[in-house]
Amino acid sequence: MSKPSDLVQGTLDLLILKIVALQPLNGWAINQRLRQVSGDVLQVTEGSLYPALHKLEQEGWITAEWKQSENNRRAKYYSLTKLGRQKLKKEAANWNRLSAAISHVVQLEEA
Amino acid sequence: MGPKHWLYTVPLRLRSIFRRAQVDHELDEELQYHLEMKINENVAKGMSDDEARRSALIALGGLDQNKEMCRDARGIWWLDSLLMDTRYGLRGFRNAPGFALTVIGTLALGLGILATSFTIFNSIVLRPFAVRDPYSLCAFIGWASSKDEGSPEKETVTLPEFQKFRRENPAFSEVFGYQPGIAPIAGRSASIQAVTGNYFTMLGGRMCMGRPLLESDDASGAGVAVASYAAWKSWFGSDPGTVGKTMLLGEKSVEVVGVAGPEFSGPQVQRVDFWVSLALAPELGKRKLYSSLVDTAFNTPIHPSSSALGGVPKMPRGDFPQLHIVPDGHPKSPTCGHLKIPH
Repeated sequence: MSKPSDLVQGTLDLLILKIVALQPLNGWAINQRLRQVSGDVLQVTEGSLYPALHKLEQEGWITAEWKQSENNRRAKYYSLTKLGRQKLKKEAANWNRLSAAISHVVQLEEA
Repeated sequence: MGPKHWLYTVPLRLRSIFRRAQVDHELDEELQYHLEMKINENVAKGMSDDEARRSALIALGGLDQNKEMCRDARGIWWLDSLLMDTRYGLRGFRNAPGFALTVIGTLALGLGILATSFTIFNSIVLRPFAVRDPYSLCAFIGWASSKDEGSPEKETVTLPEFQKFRRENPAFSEVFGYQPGIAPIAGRSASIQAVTGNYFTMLGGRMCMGRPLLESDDASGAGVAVASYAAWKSWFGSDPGTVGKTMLLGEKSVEVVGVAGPEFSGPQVQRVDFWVSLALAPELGKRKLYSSLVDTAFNTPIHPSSSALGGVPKMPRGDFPQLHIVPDGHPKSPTCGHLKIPH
């Protein structure tokens, strides 16, 4: 299980934005989806997922709506806002740049 | 963060603040949903109900802690703690009113003293006197050593001494002298200054009506006065025919020859109601000696070491074998306006 401190600073926001960009989801489903698509590598502790969601909502990057869940319960569904889409684009570009640079360094041939 | 961003986020913040009960309730429901899903998952994995619940709670890091973190993320924690601190503080006041009053009193006193000292500082330092070229003014005062004691003391200056000083100090463009005092005018106590005839011309004091005091008044020994603008209003009810009227200064009849402009108050902090000619100086109390202060202005910059600042040396007088007129301050560290003069 990957703790938030193991994630590179700021990547939790990026992951959440990306997941809800695909389709509106509730907190529980976001966690499940993240685990699924990352092949069980990435799993956010529930302890940090909800504070992160509330922060993103407060920043205006995601918006929340109460809807019926698959099991017929009321749940809070998050979806990406227009602002969030811009933010996601920027963060994703950042991430690509950073990870490419790190890969580059890690793959250096030892003399 | 453009204005569009604020348009979106400000209502959210306001909602977090003003509809806290609902926001809290929704947070409850959201976390509860997650908890139940987690328990279901745990049960499906084969845990007992209790175990599933405990494990789910642990995963969430505790419901209450998680809620707290969500509230923090919403950025309204400061409001909560502000309210709590206020409540706590007020409760403390109620439990120890004596202490609270002492603290409040101390703060009030401190603020009062600060405000008072700033008012004084403001009027003395930050707002120069409303006279022409106030920074070229320099106060002089007599210092005398008595026969038996070595250390000099502040001493008033007589009119002849003042005149000698004025004559023998060519470094200054102009010198005036004054004697302050309080005396009844027309039955009311007034702040009065007897001044030499060059007072108004030297300070550039504008007249609102009539004429200023003149050197010729000194020569003729006339008993004339100039009223301040405020005194003109309160003593004469802003009467346009004030000039030429006579009033009583103590026993003496004094003619009002002019009214000073509202902006002019002379080179001192205290209010002055009337400026009177030198002939009336004896009416200002028992002191027969002329003013203790001599104001001096110089048009050209003067070098601090100039001998002209040394005053009038050795003027024998009564009990005081020596009288020096030096810049106001202790003779060992005389200061002159904003100039510091090395001795």
